[in-house]
Amino acid sequence: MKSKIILTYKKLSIPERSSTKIGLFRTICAIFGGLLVAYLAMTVLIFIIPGTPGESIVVPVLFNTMAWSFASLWISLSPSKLIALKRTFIPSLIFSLIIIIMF
Amino acid sequence: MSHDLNPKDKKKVFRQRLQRVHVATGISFSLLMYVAVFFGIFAILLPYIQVWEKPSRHFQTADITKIDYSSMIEPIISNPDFPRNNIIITLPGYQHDPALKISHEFVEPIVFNPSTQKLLDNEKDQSQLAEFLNHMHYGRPFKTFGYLLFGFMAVAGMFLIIGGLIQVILIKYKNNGKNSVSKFSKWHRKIFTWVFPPFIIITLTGAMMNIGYFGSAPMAFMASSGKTAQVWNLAGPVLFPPLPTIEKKNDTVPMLEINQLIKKAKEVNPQIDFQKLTLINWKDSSALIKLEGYNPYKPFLNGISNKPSVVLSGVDGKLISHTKVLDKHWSGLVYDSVFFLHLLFGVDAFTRLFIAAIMAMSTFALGFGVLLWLEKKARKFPNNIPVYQWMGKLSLSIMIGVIPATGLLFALQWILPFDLENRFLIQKSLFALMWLSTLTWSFYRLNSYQTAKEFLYLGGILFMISPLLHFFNSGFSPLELLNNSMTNILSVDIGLFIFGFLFIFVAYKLPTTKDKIQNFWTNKL
Repeated sequence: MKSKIILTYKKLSIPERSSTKIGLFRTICAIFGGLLVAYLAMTVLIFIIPGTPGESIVVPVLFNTMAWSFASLWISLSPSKLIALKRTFIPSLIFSLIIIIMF
Repeated sequence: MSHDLNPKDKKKVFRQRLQRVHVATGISFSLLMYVAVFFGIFAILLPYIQVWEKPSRHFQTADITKIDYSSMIEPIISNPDFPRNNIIITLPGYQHDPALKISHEFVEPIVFNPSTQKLLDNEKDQSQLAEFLNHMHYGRPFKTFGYLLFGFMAVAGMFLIIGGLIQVILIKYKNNGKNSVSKFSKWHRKIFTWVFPPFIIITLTGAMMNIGYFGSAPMAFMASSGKTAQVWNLAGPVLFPPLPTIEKKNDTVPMLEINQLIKKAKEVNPQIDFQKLTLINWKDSSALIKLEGYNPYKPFLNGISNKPSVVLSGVDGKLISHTKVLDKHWSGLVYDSVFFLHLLFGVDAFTRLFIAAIMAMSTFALGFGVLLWLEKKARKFPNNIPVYQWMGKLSLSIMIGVIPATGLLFALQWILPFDLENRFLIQKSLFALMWLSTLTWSFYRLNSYQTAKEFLYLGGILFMISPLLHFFNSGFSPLELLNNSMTNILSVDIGLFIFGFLFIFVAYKLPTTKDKIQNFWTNKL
């Protein structure tokens, strides 16, 4: 079991030599992972911007979709599948923690 | 064994991937983007088309400073059966509509011709051309599915703009290539590097309007610490402050004349172009009038959510409150400045035409992008073999086929009689039918350029005859329109005619054989 996990980890961390195929893995990471990262980041922004919730929510709602496209692009350009996964989950985790603390 | 790539390969793979995701996303969303931008051009010109399409709006534009509002409004609101609270009066000139409108939540709007002060016969649902073109712009005919689809397309659009900019910066493209592929690439890049700043803001606001509100529920929930999941419950009072609720005194006292109240408000703030009056508790001794409008001296900061206003007492015209442009919370100012370029409320004809020109250029850039992709596919075959490719046919029917379909929509506006039952349904069905038939025709025909030529000729003719039909069926000749200062209407006629003429010109110039096509793109572009 343990060796299987290590094997998968190693397999995922191989940087892809050819970039002609984008692949489903990367696509899903980019679309949904990008959305997750952007949405959580924008939610953190609400807590950072001073003012009442009504005042501070305007800018994050406005720029949410743009953040999504930025995050998607960033994730889709990762050299290996592992990096794509890391780019999805590490920021999401950090932002979620901040939200949990500040909520 | 090491799987690591050396730095040079890494760079190469990164750049390839950058291009690869751009191409894949671009070709998947290109046709939707084109539809949104194409109908967006008509949506920019919506105020003019809205006047052009309605026989009831064919009258002389009144001089705003000399209109006697009281003689039209007073008889309506002094009618004891008319509601007394929250009466909305839209002044002539708002969104270039020359009519005066009195409306209330529970009453059919009453429309006046301000120069003759006569009641107008409003077309209501019989004439919705401009509105329909606007709906096509953001996917409304397909309801929630359409909103979501167009919203995701806008997100993809931003993805493409950002990715494309990085490509232009990182990759050294050559501009002096002589074949058609490099020409398409050159113009696709060039146009979008020119127009990206307004384009990305417009895409951003488009995405927000279509999916931003839908998706903001969890965010609103977290921002309010679980009190509400409705973003408007939070942002509504900040962006659109509600009218003050005031106690009714339940008596009837004479009110000041509307004319005098407008004059008083003008004295309070001469910079505002007043557009809308709201009468609260009218004829009661607690009566208020809220006059709001647009301040053209501070563009980008007002017009959408931020409407500078003056609130006066209806009894004696005493100033109750006065909201200036910069009184708004800064988040409201950001909101307005971002939305300003997209919604263009209250701007003049020049700005509208300028943005429309930018968008027209963008349709070309989009077209070149798709042509680039298709040409790369077709290049694999020698010149004497005709290429039949499904994406080529589909884009032909959507990108060029939309022209005759829209032309038919305009032509039908003045062919169908206005008292025809289901008039608008017939009009839009024929539009859909026309567009679908271009799909069949383009798949049936082998030579795409020949088909494009036919579509452009047909579209050009339809666009060119629609002003003629308008002159004939509305009973106004161009000279009469000019003499009666209906230049807004005449300019739509001229615009349609020029549009049609351009299409016919392009159709005439377009080559149809494969070597001539290559020659056309390499030497003419």
